[in-house]
Amino acid sequence: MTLDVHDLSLTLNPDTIFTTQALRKVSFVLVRGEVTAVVGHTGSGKSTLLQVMAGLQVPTEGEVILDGMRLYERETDIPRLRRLTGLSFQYPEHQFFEETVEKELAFGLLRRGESPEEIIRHSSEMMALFGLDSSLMQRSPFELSGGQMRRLGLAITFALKPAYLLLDEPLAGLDPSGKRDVLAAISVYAKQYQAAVVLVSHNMDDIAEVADRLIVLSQGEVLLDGPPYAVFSEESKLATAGLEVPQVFRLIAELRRRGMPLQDGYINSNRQAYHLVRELLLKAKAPGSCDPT
Amino acid sequence: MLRGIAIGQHYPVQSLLHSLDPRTKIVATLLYMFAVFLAADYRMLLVLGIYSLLAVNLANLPWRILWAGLRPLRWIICFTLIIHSLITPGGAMLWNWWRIAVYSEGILRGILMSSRLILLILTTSLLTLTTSPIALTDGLERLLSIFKPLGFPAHEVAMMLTIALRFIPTLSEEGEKIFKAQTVRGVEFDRGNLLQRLQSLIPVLVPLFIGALRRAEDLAIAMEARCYRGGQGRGRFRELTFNLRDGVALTLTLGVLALTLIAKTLS
Repeated sequence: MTLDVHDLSLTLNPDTIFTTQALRKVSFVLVRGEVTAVVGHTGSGKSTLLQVMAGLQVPTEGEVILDGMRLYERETDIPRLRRLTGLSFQYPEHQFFEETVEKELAFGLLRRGESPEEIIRHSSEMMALFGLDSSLMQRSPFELSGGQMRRLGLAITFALKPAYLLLDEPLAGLDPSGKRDVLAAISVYAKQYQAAVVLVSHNMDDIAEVADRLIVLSQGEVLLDGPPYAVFSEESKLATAGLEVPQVFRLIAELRRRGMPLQDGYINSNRQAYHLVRELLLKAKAPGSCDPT
Repeated sequence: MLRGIAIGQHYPVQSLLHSLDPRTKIVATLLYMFAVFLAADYRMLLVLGIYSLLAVNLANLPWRILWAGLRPLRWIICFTLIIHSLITPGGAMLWNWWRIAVYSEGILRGILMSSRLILLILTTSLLTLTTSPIALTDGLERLLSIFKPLGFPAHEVAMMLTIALRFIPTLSEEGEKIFKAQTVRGVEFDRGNLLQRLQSLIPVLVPLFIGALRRAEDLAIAMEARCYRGGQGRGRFRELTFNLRDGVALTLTLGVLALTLIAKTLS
């Protein structure tokens, strides 16, 4: 039960001056239950990669194998592909068209032929996951606040319960509390439904919260691939891709460099790093130092 | 789906045709179109064809880009050829079945008509391919301002055109994105009868229109924030200059038109 991406290459607009090599020999295997973050600078091929994985963009070379099913072949089972994958584009709130939140959520489920009871169950489950009140169900999606719109936009894809959930910049333009809610929903979803979640972002600080694995793309190529602590230790390599190590990780690296006796524990998220620094400061408790709590 | 649209697509490379004044290119295209409509025999069309090929040669464009402009109209071209071959009598009968007959005159006329079409499409797409949308509307504004004393809103029309051209790629990109997003949600655009297919476009068209209105409003606010208040007293960043090569190009085009006119009156 994996999503295999093998030697994927994609050339857009071949043989014209607009030609771009969007992807170059990209390979990785995604496992269900894991949150993978694909990071890269603008134009590094992140969004294109997501579309290739969702069966929307035919690659020039290479293959995508979804639970043993090869995509982009004549015998590819399209309904099965759609059932297994869910893709949320950047600004999913720009696709709203229904009269009510309820209908917007039901749209994809109806297409799939779910029963009314199932539709209600899936919809309200996802409303709850994103902290949206059920009283909003009868409202127009266009009346919601910006943060609510984004959460609904994402909930629409989540409600389809895909085993491979692909999210393109789900946090773009959200305020800190909105980001926290969305990130929480993502990690709960991955655990609860044993789903592989891929989230594309250009902001390292955001994804350091939830990602089990980081794939760094640079000019269509996989530059780094591994758990966050391993990727964040490659500061100079990340810099070549135009990316910055999250601030807490930079602080930890700096402390190590200055001879702080930090154990080599694997710090994988911002929160863990924050706690480590906090503990250190508490231990130091130098007179005159400010209270870190 | 939307990738094939090449209307107003600019292909930015260096060439003589690219460097011409947009006004020259617009006027030359109009004169040429006039000549194509006048040309009534194949010798004249041959001259016009050579002129066209010369222009294409000077434009430094790959053939596939030009072909992309012709491709959507290939059925109309074939249709023209067939219809004219079937309905025009005269000359030697070449083929006969029941009440349908094909005469040599018909074939000639069919070829004439379809090559007219090809030449028209080729030159108009040459204009947009070699001229950036901004230069094009700039040139158009200057040309149309001749009619300003008659109350024609040249600047406003040109600004509307600029905005429209500017948003064609943006909206087609947005449309493609929404199209894909609804595909993932399970919409099957190529299934069912005509009514069902039209219905499946609602989830694409509604968000597209909402997005267009949102962009329009943002743009209006942005323009007002920059104190845009119409064309009065507006200077320009790029001044258009009419060079020697523009003169040569226009003279050449006028020459071709004159030749067509003479050929027309003689026959």
